[in-house]
Amino acid sequence: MTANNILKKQIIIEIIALLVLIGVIFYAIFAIQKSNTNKIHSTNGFVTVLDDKDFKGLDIYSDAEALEQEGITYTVTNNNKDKKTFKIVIKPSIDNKDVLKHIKISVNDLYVSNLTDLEKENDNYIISTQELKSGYTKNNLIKLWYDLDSPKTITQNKISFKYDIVVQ
Amino acid sequence: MTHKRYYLILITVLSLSVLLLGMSYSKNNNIEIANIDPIYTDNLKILYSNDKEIKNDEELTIGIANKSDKVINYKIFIKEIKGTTKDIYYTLNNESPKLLENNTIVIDSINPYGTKNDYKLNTIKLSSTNNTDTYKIEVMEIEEVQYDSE
Repeated sequence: MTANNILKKQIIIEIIALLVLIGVIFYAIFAIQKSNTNKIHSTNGFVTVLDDKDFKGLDIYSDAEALEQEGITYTVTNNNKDKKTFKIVIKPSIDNKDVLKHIKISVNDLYVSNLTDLEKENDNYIISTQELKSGYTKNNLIKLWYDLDSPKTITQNKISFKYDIVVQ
Repeated sequence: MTHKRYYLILITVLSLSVLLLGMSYSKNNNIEIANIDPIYTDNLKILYSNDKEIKNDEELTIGIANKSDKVINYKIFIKEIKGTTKDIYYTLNNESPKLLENNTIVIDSINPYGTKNDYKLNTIKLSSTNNTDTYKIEVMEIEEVQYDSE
């Protein structure tokens, strides 16, 4: 093989390697942007991560239909030195009972309830009470929807929700 | 281009790729979604809050969704009892305890998919005098609802 051919071969390999690097840079940028949509919050030794990028907003569904939809992932990590009990709470942006009574909520695709049937604490609805060992992480899948009886005037309301934990 | 320089550049480029790939992969996968794995029958999707086998006085929640376009009847029953106690009481959805007969806890129906009540939740607790008793609970589709005659 002549020196010219060796040089050509090396240049081709270099170009391929550079293309791989460029591809990886794009993948890294995409991954960082994707993870930045998560809302990270710290409180009382707990870290929570809210990922609602797949949640399309409230819509009218039957319960079984709603459980097939994408939801919100709320991840809770206990960084305390001991086991703790905490409540996951949700606060809607409006306080109109006529609207809120039509909203249903599920936790981990199992527990389904009307939002207004949940226990309330300081304007927050308690959606789950859990225990978490030190250093452990728990993932919660939350889904929200309007029940089948919801009139159109109700479903036109734009509602957002704030998620938080109350450590006991 | 000398061989030394060529290999140096190649190793640098590949190392950077591997490093970046590793970093972005770990960043992208810091959340695991822990769904409850459903169990499917012909027409139903069933979710159990924990293992189907529960201990005495332990609670089990079962979510049942109808996936078909017709009303489906189902039965929640005890498939297996590991224990010696004859009198077992069950509590369904926090109602008052009832004596278990024929191992059947509840017979009910569920509306077609996409209609009201196409999903039903049942919270079950079984109690006997022997705390070491364990029970295996199952859900099955049945042809029609059979009501007890008195």
